[in-house]
Amino acid sequence: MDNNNQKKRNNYNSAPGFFRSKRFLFMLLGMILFLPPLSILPQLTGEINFCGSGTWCPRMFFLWHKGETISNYLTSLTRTYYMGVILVLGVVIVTFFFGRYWCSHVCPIGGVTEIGSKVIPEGIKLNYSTFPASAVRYGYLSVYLIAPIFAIGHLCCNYCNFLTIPRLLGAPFNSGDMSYFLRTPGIINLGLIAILGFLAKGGRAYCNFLCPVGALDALSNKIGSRLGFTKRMGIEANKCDGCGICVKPCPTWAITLEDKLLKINQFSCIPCKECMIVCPNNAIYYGRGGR
Amino acid sequence: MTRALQSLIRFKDRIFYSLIGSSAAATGIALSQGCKVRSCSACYGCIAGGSFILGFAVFKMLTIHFKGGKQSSDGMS
Repeated sequence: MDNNNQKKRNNYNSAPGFFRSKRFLFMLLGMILFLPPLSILPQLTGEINFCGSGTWCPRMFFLWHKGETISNYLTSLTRTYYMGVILVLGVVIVTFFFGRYWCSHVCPIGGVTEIGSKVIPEGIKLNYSTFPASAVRYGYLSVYLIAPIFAIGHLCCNYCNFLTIPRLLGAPFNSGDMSYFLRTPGIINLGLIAILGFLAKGGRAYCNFLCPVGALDALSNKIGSRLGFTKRMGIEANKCDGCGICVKPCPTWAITLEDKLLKINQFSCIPCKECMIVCPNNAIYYGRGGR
Repeated sequence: MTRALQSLIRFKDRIFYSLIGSSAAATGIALSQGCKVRSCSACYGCIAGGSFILGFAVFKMLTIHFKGGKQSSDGMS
């Protein structure tokens, strides 16, 4: 028994650190491509950053406002928000077949908060894992989608980390971005990013609770996971001894252990493979039929 | 505990936590830009209601954070 525990500890300690992993390099690439100071992809379409005038915004376009005609809606999709539409469609399709790779490897916004949370001491982090994130997320999403239809108001841009993170990284280079954080919306958004991002266990609480793109992506992930030919994270029950070592490193709290039985919540799971790396029995895999 | 009772409790939890998410969004709308429903004279009720539910959620989260607790399984896996 002692040898077994020692083996697990060694395995955990010898696992490649986050900052040496390929996923970290992909995240850095995503940040270079989408975020200031370089914002390479947005600048190709004449935007200053990911948020800009809305061309790349992945959240604005699916809000239907009261009184808006179908023609106006479709025009805005093809003329104003076209890159955001392409991006979200691409993300949802890739997720359906291969899992949430956008969220785990590319998303520059989730990447910044996750990387930021890695340098925060564990002792002061807030643990939101006791909340059923899926229920909160879809409750939030329902009001997010329904309120504009009834002209009650909308949350788009107000509590948006796709707006705040680019401004945060752009602030040292741009006085406009800096002044955003001196106004009330900027201060509130900064607080949200701190509480639900940098100070959250795993750094992904905003992604889990409030991100509308993440919610659509999670839905695609769940539906796709029901089909045999799609790839997902899965557990080989005969290899798993229920030690639970994989629960802690999961950034989205997708793994739960009940009566020595592991479960992966496909609504929350992103294929970051942190659990796969630490598993001493190689019981967690990424492949066809993963559930 | 019977399977049906467990399902019922999970369903109740899902509704409750969906309500927390909805409250977060509704309170956010009211706080950040003001509710646009003109028949209502003020948004204090919405903010108070939303804040109460959110406050309860934060209280529960902090209690679990400091006392320790089990990671949630929302029955959606």
